Amino acid sequence: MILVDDQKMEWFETMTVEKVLERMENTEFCAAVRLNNRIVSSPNFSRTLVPDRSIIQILPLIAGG
Amino acid sequence: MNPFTLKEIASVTYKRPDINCGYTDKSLHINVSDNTIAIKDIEEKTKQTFIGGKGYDLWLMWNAVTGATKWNDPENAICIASGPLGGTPGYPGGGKSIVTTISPLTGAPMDSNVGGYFGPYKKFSGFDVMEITGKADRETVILIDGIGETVKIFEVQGLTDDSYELSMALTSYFDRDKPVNVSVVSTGTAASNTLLGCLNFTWFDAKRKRVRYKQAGRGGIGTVLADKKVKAVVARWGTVSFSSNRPADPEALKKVTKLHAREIAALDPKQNRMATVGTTHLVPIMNDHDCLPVRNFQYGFHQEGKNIGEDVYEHIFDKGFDGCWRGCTVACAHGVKDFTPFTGPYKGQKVFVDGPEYETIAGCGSNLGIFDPFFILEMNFYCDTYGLDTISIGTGIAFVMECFETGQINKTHTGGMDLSFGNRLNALELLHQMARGAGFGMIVGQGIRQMKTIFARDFGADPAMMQDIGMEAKGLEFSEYMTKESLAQQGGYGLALKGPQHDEAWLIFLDMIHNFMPTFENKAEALHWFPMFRTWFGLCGLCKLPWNDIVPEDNKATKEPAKVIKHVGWYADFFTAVTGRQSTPEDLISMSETVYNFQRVFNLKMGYGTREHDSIPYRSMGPVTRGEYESRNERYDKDLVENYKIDISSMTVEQKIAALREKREANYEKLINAVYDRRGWTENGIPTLATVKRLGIDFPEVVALLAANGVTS
Repeated sequence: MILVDDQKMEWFETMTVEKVLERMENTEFCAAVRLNNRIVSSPNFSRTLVPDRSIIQILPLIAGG
Repeated sequence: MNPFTLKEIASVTYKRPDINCGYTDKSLHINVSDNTIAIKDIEEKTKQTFIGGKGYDLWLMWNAVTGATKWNDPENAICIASGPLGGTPGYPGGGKSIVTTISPLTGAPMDSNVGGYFGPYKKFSGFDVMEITGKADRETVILIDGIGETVKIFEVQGLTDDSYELSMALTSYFDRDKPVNVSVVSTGTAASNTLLGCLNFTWFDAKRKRVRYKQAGRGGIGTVLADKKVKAVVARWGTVSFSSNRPADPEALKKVTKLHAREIAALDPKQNRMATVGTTHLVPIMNDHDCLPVRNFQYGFHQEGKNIGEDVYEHIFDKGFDGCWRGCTVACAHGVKDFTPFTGPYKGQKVFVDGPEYETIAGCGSNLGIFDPFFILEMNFYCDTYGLDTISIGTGIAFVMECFETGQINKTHTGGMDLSFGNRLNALELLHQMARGAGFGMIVGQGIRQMKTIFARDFGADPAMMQDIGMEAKGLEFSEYMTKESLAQQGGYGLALKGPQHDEAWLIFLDMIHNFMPTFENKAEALHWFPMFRTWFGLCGLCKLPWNDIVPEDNKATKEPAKVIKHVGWYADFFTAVTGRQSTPEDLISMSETVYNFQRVFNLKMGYGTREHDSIPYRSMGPVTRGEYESRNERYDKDLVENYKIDISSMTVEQKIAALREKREANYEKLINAVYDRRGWTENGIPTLATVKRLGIDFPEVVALLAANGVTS
């Protein structure tokens, strides 16, 4: 089990950030997440594996400085 | 700290006006040539048209200067205003000041939005806006004492040039018992020797018992202050409460303040964590998306980029509350304590560094090919201490380094310094030279536009090459985002009124990553709405970060998440609650549109403000060099083949660079056409007569100016 924005999600072995987002709604503007307190950006979503019991926070649309 | 003396040379006692609905309806005018101090009423029509903040600044400046005024003429004004909503304690980002002047870099109006307590203290002392004109013949300090109800001008002797020491000395001098009552505006030594001087605005950090800084960095406003021989402007004020602005509807104000503040307190830890890491979270995100400027904007990624982001700075920042306004829950103004510089006058001493923020990290780090977080701290510290803008310094030195590496300049020009990318000691030495007023640093301190002229004229450098790689527009250095793959952001920079700063529009991700605006018309609409809404913060004395850096949890399900419409609605409620002027989100856009167009006309008055001045260097559009092209070969080849249907099978790299350039430059021109049309401007980028009439800024001087430029309908 993992937590995504405080919501529980069933974990599976080959789970990547990309696969997590595919299971969520309204994530088309997601360019970065925090996976266990580390930033993962969209170019790395498909190759970043999500460990079991991870905590993911979806960062809002990047708005610049 | 050497002893200093202040000798009073002018003084005015006044009855502090009651603030009503966020306004004092008074302006303060100080002329340091003849040491006159005048207090004037602000007309109701001015308030309705210009709202406050930057609007008031620009109106005073418009009346102070002529089209022939240069930055160092006595009549050039430095104007500082808060805004009707500024000074609301607890409202996130509710304490900003907006500063304007005729810039030494651009020759046109410059504006800068800055934290610290000065703007609210000045307003609560009785003045919505202040204007400083003239040129003193001796070093001067201006005091606005709202507690004592006096405005004074002092001649000062023996006061240090070091900005931190100066601010602390004046804070103690004017209120030793309650230093939190004092905010100081000053610059530093290098502001006199360069065109890149910034202003440091203070607030007193009671917990750390020291002055803290935020900067009005862009466009050389500090250089103008130094030229006027104004060493500092001090505001003194006491208690700040919810009722200080005498809001029209206190209960509504409490409600919206609580909603926004609580949301940020609850969601920031789950989102960008700005209260912990400031804007350093942007470094890895920009780097991963090929948007972090590396080596003078040649590239957008470097494998060492991760060394200068939040992972590092989170552990270096001093823990504690870091709001640059009272009760701000964004609280992103972090700093580093007990840092020990390894060069310069503070070498070996422990100092406090206010920063760094993203722009300083990218400008003074990755853009110089340097990925050392402590070097960036030292650049940050000395820029602040010497009164220099970290963005123009970073972008300017990056340009110098590329010129050095490509042989445009060499050691005979730099005083023997190797200025290759990555050379930390010599990058710092340039700052020290700017402070000392000696050496090659004096040339670098003139900014990129002047450097291009000097390098070509005196050193035989190639003007065309420098035009392509010198990252300035309108004379101002670019801030620190890569725009090669975002046409909308190229427009965001090129069309920005003051020059290429990202505060008008930051559209890179919407455009480049999410492809949210595929057509020219989509981009033009974004380049209308976003600059207009962002301008509004500067009219009201607010920070934009609470609008869209922390967003409601359900924002992503809204139709246009980039606009964060729920927050826009709260801002309309905020404005209504304080001013009593019933406002909708659409009204906020209208307010901005008036001032925005007025500033464009002001540019025209100063000899700019037309299409030719909205051009940008090709480095910001695409690959200038073979190395840049080949580093992203696949991307550029695909662009040529798929988007432009060009057969590249027999083309050399140079031919492909030329073909891509032709297409991308043409696209930029098409974008400009679409934006001008959307904004109600002519094809030459001038607001039409119908536009200025619609916005109520068809003053006789404006109409005459348009007519003189061939615009009569």
